[in-house]
Amino acid sequence: MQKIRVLTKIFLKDYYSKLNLFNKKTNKVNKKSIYLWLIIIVAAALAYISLTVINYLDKIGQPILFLKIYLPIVATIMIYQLIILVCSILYYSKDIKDVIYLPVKPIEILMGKINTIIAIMYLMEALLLLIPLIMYGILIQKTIMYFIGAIITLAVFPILFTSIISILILLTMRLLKVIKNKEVLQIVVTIILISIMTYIIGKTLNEVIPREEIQNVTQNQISDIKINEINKKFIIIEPIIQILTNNQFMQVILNIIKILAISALSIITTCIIGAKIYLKEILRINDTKNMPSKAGEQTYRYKKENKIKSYLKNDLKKINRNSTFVIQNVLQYIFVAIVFAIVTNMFLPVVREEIKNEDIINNIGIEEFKIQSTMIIIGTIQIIYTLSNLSITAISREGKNAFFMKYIPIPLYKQFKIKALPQIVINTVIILMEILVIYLNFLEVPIGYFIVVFFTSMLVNIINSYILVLIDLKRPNLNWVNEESVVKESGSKLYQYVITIFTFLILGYLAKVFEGFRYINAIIIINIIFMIFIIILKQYIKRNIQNLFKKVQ
Amino acid sequence: MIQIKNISKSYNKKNKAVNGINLQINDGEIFGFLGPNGAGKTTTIKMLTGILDIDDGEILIDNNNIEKNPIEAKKKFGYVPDKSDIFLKLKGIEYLNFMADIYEVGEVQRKDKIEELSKIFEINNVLNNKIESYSHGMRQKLIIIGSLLHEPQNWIIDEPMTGLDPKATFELKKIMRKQADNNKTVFFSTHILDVAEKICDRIGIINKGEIIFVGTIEQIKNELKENKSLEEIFIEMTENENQD
Repeated sequence: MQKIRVLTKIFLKDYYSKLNLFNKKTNKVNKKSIYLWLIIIVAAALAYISLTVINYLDKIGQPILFLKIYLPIVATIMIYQLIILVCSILYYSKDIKDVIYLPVKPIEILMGKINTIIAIMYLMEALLLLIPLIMYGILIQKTIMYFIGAIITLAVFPILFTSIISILILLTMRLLKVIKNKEVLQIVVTIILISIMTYIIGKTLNEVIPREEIQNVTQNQISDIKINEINKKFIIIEPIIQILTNNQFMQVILNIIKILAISALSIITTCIIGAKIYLKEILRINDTKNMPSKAGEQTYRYKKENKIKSYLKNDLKKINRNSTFVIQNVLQYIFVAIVFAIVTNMFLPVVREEIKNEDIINNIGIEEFKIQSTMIIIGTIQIIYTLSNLSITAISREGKNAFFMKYIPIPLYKQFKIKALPQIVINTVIILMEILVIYLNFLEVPIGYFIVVFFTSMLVNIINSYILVLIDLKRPNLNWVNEESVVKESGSKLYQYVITIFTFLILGYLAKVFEGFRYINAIIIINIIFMIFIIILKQYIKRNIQNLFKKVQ
Repeated sequence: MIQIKNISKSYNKKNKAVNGINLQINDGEIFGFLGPNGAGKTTTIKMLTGILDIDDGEILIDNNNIEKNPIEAKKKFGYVPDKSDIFLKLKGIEYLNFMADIYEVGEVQRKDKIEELSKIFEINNVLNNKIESYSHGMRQKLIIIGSLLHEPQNWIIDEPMTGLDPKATFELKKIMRKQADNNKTVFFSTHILDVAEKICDRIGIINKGEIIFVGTIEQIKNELKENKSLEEIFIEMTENENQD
């Protein structure tokens, strides 16, 4: 136990110290930490949303729906996060090499790692669950028993999910031992598990709430039984809801025992499985890293390519050969976009019905409607952009090698443009995917409308990517030791959220300004404004390029 | 030819990392840049290669100003940085092809050069492996090869012997001499004074950001009128400077 405690402490210190939440000298909260402000903003936003939703549900007499819907949402987010986190912490973090030669048992390392993951989940839980649960208790005027139940819930909630995902990853890594390349292995394991989870969640939602019935949600007719069915699939959510809402003391105690037993059992199972296979797999993975190809005479390809093309290819190779970068920058983003497209596809019939029922088109006029809907689509896509890390880490990803950009004979401005390209390309796929979903739900809308939306979205896409590379250049994070910290230790992510909020406000403002305009005229002017902005941005970058690259040394 | 004209650099307002350095490294010579840790060697090399901005003064590489005409200037040199952890996820051959593309080296020339140099440095059988699987010395060898593919007129090398095995060090010294014999410039920084003493045509000693000596080994010995080794002279000079 002593060794597990020490290992956990080391792993955790390593993880949390990088967030810079506390000032090491004064031991007080570090007000300069971008993460602190990020936490405050998210907490404030969640408090506001919870307040609005709980008040509304209380008014219609169904406040319990808040817990029944919000808890599975948090669990889903947690599961996706866990898939990425567990694989990386259990098998790919650098600290494994620092402890593997110490006289500790594999099970102790595993437990230290699992504790670290659970602690990280607690931070996530504190961010997503703590405030909404407190708000619920206060607004619904719950007794002290609710708050005690809430504390137990918060303590137990992540354990089962962490155990299940850990077991799945331990087994999948074992099963896929035929894959010798450790980078490929991490990507394959992550893709398999995320795909399985997406399939299960999609299937559950589809079975329990068919697409046609989603509109009932807006009419408060969704069956309580159906929501309960979803919650049953998450195993511990139903007993947790009982703990938080049941007034019978014995029932609460029984449910507490139930969730504690489930969690303890899951942890024991993880330990039993881990004890047998964890160390073997770590050693195997570390072996594969340095495996040279067969010695002897080798043939090489000497193909000359255009230097810009070669630079771009090299940049892409650096991403796709690095499993952490692929997961952080590409996979996570694409999966979220796919889930977003699925959810959009599920809810668009409701939107369609609402537009029809409220006679919105006739009320505000077709031209006005077109402008507003264009801005809403672009704004929605912009929210997805926020999740991409490609441009915001374009320079930081180079780490200590970034100085390379300075001594090669390729103009810095050209390098800047190449750095912005991967996100522009991947965002184009996202734009096409989202527009296709909308098109399939509104087949009667002329295709020309979607082409216009695509073109305008592309301009916003370019602006977005350029600004993010610019931010990364101004405050690059080049001294990272492992790839995970490129995003984790970068304070620039906050600026990405600010840009999204800012873009949202601008789009809203433009929709307001062009009230009463013909759609085609409005959209031409808007596109001209965006294009002028791109030209100004490019000129600024070109003129200040030396200065912008100052921190790259 | 490399001309360094009165350059200065400071990272903060109080201290200058490099203070008014003047140097000219002529074609056909090997110039050793010596100095204790923190003397300003790497800062000078970083300014020389365009990695760091110059506060005052100017640097010309074959008459191309590194700040005003950076692309032309950068084409004129090959650079071996002191860090060898570069592009670890690429294969050795991919890195070399990439360098050849960046410096616009034709297929025949790159093939000949890669084959020739990778055989000399004995890494010709591992170029299909990822760089991350290489030892420190192998990575250093790969970077040295990459810097020579475009047959640069000026070769700037920062601590090139670090991590190299004796044979590779010997080969590197041979290549440096060959470059100089072909009327090319070799500018290298080193801590290994024996090497500097044996292969440099001229040396420059930098301490606390200022050049305290430039000349041949014979000149320095004559100046001090002592028959000491370069190592002894170097320690004496830098210690005297520190005491002042």
